[in-house]
Amino acid sequence: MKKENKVRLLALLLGTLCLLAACKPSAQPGIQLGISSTQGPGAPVDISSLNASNYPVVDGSTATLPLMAQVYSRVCGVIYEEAERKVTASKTAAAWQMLAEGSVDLLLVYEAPEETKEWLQTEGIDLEIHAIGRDGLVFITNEQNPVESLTQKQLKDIYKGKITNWKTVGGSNQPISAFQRNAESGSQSLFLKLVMQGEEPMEPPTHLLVAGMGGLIESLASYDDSASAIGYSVFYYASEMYEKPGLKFVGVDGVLPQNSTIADKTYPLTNDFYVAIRADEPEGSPARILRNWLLSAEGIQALEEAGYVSAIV
Amino acid sequence: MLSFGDGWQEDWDCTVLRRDGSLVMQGKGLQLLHSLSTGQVQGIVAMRNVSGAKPLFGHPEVHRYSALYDTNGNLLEDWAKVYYSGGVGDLIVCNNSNYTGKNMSDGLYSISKRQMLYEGVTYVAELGNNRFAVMDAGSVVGVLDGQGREVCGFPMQQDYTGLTGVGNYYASNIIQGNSYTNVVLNHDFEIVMEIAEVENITEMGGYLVVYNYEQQNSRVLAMPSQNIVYETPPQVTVEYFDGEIIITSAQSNNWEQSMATLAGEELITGCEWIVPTCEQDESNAQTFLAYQNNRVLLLGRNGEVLQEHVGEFGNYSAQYTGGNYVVYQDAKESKGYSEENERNVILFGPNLEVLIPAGKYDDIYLLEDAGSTDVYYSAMQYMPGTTNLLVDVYDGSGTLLLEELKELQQTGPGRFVVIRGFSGGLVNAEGNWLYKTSAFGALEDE
Repeated sequence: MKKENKVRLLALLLGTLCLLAACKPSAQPGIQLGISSTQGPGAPVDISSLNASNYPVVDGSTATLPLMAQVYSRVCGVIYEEAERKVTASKTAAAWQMLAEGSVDLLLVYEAPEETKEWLQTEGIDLEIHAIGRDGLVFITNEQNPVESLTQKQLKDIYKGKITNWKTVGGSNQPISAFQRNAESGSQSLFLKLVMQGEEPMEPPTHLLVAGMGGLIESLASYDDSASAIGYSVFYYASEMYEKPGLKFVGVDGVLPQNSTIADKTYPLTNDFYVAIRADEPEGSPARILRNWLLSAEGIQALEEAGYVSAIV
Repeated sequence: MLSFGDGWQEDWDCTVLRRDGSLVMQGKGLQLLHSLSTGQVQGIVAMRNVSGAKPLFGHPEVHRYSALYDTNGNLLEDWAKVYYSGGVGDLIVCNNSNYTGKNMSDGLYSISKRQMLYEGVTYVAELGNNRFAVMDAGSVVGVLDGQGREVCGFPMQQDYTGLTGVGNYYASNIIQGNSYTNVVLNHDFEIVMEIAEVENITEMGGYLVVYNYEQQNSRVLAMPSQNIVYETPPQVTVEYFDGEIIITSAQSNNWEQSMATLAGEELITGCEWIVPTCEQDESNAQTFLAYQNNRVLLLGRNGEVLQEHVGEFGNYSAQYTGGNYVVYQDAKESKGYSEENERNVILFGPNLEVLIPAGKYDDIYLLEDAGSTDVYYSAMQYMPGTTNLLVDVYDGSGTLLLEELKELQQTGPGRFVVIRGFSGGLVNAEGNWLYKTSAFGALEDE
């Protein structure tokens, strides 16, 4: 039985790091949005009232696009290929903002960048946010690179510019080209939260700052010094949506990212992604019905059939 | 030949395909070179930026390297510090991108001869009527036709700058010492007449229309006699003239437009706009579309109303494109994000039949492809609540061919490079994939 802890966002925004540390043992810094806990699937939800004409406006992160399509296909009774054409993602930061502003109704989305969280806090916008799935921040190198795993400290030191040569971490004598993402990306939010943990990464040269996730993967595979490059993405996107030959995942603390290691969190760099609606969404509205369905056993099944790891156990 | 992933991004995978979907080549940063005269593909260029050691404003200097391939993907010129762009015939433009040393020089490169034919050339400018000016930093070096054959010059006898083509004539400045003269030239670069500094020219129906910025009026000259056949009062502009019918707009009357005969007979007045049924650079309309008193009117050459369409309309604008009329009206209801005011747009056929009704799309564009006479329109709507567009494709008779495309990058005769759903590639007009790959390699992520 689902136990919801519905608390208004502002009441749950934890104002100080001391309070954060007291409530949540994790040392992860930054603003925490009010995320309702979910224990087990919710009760079955009747979605027969939903159809293509009253389907809520759903938005989110690129990596959740297949989930959006799966849900639309299931709820509206259309084939998956048609559902692919009906869904769109404004990307993480913009999607959170658009939900808050009321231009979209429901998000399937990764964690917001700190600036977006600050904006949400400043604006005092009430959202209901539930963890629905879990993904991993993964590090990618060219398959020619002999390094199979890095520790979290080594990753941080690489991105702080303290480790600059692969030989320091057991690789060949080559300088490390460490790609970063743009500040608005969901991957960058996870990188700053899970790896840098409040410390500033080094300023990347312009040519090592890649705007699009696809672009990052392309750059790694093709970069002239390809064996020296390292970058990051989220596991689902890199493994399911755009699998590029010539690349490999690097283990972290000796654990390779896989659905199983992300599910049980033995892979250390995991983070939940969310379903979010505005708190003032009326009872019985299409968005609220869909949200409740996503938290039900049927919703979890749809998520897992799309290849994601459920965060609801 | 079409390029998927064209619209260059450094280090992005690109795929060059033939019309049947077969592969020509794949690589990083590929672009097609299109002929300025025919639109046909002249060659394929691969590009990459390489950072140099020399700091430029605190950052490493970046050099553009390019390699040139023929249309079958065979290497013509290996990587060099150079930009390539489309030219005419088998000539392409080659610009040296290495400002600190000699590598490849500026010039026109012959693909068939695999050598530079014209040194010191920086770009090629279209003059109209199948003429192309070969330029060096704003000065005309010579003129080629659309097949790349010399018409005149190499070198020119005078220093022509600011050269623009207006049908059968050119407008240019001639620099002599410290002074310059504004002149009108014929296609043999003979001076036909001088014009004032505050004047510019257009050609309509074989007549020259000279617009004076100071007086804000126009005079219409018969050519080559230069006799004035029509002159507007101040603040009245000639919009169309074909030797018999003239359309003018009057600034003093909120730019209302009128249509009259050269003899002075008024055919219609008080129109928000009048659009001749001919391409933009032509003056041979047999019918005209006008908007007057909440009515869209199809008029004959005598001003007679052939058809009309009545409705609740706001301020309209319209254009004749691809044999049909695209007409915009103010939207009654916002359908999504738009940088401009929300618009509903109608596609009227040549007899004012509604091909695409108002209410669905934010914009409709003719898909232009220089190598094709096929007519296709892209009709775009914003997905509700988002800044994302969905694009549908119609043919010239208003038949829906492709729907719900997330991107429509490029077209060829009966071929479309698209992103549909989570796939991208080449489809035909029936919507069948001829080449299909994941769309996420070209999508920016979150």
